[in-house]
Amino acid sequence: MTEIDIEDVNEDQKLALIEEAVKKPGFAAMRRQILESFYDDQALADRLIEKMAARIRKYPPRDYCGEWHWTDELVSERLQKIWETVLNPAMSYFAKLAKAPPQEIASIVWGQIRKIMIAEAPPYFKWFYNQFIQQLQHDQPLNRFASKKVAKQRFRGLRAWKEDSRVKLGFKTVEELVNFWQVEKKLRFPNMARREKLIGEKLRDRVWEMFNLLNEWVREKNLYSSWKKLVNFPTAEQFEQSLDGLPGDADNGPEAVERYLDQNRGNLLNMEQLCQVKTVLCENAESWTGYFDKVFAGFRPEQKNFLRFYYVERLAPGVAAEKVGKAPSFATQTFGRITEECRPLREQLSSDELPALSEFLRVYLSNMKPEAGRTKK
Amino acid sequence: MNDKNGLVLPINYNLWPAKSQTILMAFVQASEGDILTLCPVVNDFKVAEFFDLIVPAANTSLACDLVIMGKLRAGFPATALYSGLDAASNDESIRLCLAMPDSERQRLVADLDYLQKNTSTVTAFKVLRGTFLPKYSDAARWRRKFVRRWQEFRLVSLIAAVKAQPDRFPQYLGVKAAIEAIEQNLKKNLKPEAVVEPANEESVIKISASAKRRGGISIERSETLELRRNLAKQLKDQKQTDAESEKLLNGSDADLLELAMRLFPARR
Repeated sequence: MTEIDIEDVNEDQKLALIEEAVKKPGFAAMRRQILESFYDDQALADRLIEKMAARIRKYPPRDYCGEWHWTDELVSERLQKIWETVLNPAMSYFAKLAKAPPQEIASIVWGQIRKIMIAEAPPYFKWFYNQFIQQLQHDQPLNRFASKKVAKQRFRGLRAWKEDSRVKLGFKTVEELVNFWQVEKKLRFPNMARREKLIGEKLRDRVWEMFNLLNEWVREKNLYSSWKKLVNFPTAEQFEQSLDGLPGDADNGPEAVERYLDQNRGNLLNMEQLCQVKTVLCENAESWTGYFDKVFAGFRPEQKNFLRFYYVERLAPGVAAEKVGKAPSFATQTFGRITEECRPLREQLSSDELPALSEFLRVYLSNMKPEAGRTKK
Repeated sequence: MNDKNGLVLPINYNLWPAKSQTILMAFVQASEGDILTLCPVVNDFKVAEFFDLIVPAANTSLACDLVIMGKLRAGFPATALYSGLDAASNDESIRLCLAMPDSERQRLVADLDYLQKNTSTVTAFKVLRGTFLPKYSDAARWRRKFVRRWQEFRLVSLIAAVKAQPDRFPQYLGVKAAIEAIEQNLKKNLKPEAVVEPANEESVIKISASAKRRGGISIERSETLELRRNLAKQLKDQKQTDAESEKLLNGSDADLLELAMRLFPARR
């Protein structure tokens, strides 16, 4: 079944709106006004474009365009998009620009830059922005962290928490730390501290690590990368090593996470490796099917649905967890489990053959009928 | 082996959307009368999807990687292929295409057929196929665009073929009026063609939903409704109740034109 692409439909709707706006009585006058502003003062337009380009380049390229650096081409694409919006007769910017005196034009255009930067960012970042930054700005519980106010007893601000000498000296008990975390469950941070294998010291260290990350996040300095570490790092790291890499040979740095999260990395295999993977699959398909039949018999429906979203629909781990109505930590837990289950199979394969396992899982899960469980539309 | 079955041949670029720079060929999966079942062929295996057959360069006499997009197979008039195939036999690349050995042609047809019918874990990997592409990957984006171009190519090819044979269809069928309406829609860029294979209930629902979003253009548009009704009557009269004809009848405008061509073969 061919997918229906909605992009064209949106394009049609946009054109229809523009057509409608152009027919309105004030359009000709507004258009004249805008043309005069820019044509009369060419230097104004040049200065504005220069400033806009500089501003665009300040956005972290990895987050906002998925590249290591801003190229001239990428910047000019963003500039083009901004102009397309502010000079779109169907949008309010058009009227604002027409009425604005020259010195105010820049501030009107300015407001649009951030919106376009987010709109043009890779989907995973957009998702992050919608889910978390919006919450950070609007939700009371997160404001408490953002403003770092010393809150009352039960809800102590993070700074107060961190400055508490008893915490620094490690006098807080595991239960206290975990309970603090539990209070914040509403924030949908991963409940990694609750993983079965973490007890005692390890559990406390993990919670402490999470607080540190959270603190970085609040500072908004490395907002996105902190968030990725917090939500996905254990997931990505473990999983990268467990299925597609040899034990211990994968690098654990943030770059590994970047690569892992990059949906554009695509199929990194060359034709020779692809054929090798096919051979492995042909040889093992039958036995692996039997093996996974047994493995998945013990999985809950939402775990299977999550894996289907991840492997077949190729959603990011956090998004797939969201789809089954779970927090991102659910991804970590489920990956942890499937990793364990795959261990005996992995040990039989060389590094070139490892991708066969994830390819097999993809097909296995695509054949699995969705089971009733919580699934968010 | 049938005349062209199993060959990978150049398409008629006069009918391919002018705005697209894609280089592709077409694989002839089957032929019936003057209708060929074609699948697009490209040579970048990174864009291969689960229902695409990958043929490594080492396994084909064409000496380049082939990705035969099985999911996009559809009926085309013979004129959708490059018209000067015989005349251009001096061209080395075309000569190579036409000289594909019978055994290779048979293998490609069989492999593609197998790939489309076998998706379970035990059977799926016996042929080299693509993977599930992440929705937001460059490859998936490229594919979505490509699908639209392929659909447009099909519709334009069928319109051209139907218009070139005005006497082929009885007047009562309403082909002429339908073609005019479809062409008008094409010009308006409304793209009523939502899918290549409206093969099942799910796809029909999707088309309807998509049509609703587009402002009420549905597969039951009044311009083509007449043709649809007449073809349904013709199917009933000819007692053709096979699933394939049903799919075409309930499908897109291009499907309707294909069905008309199938029901009213060219006169010899």
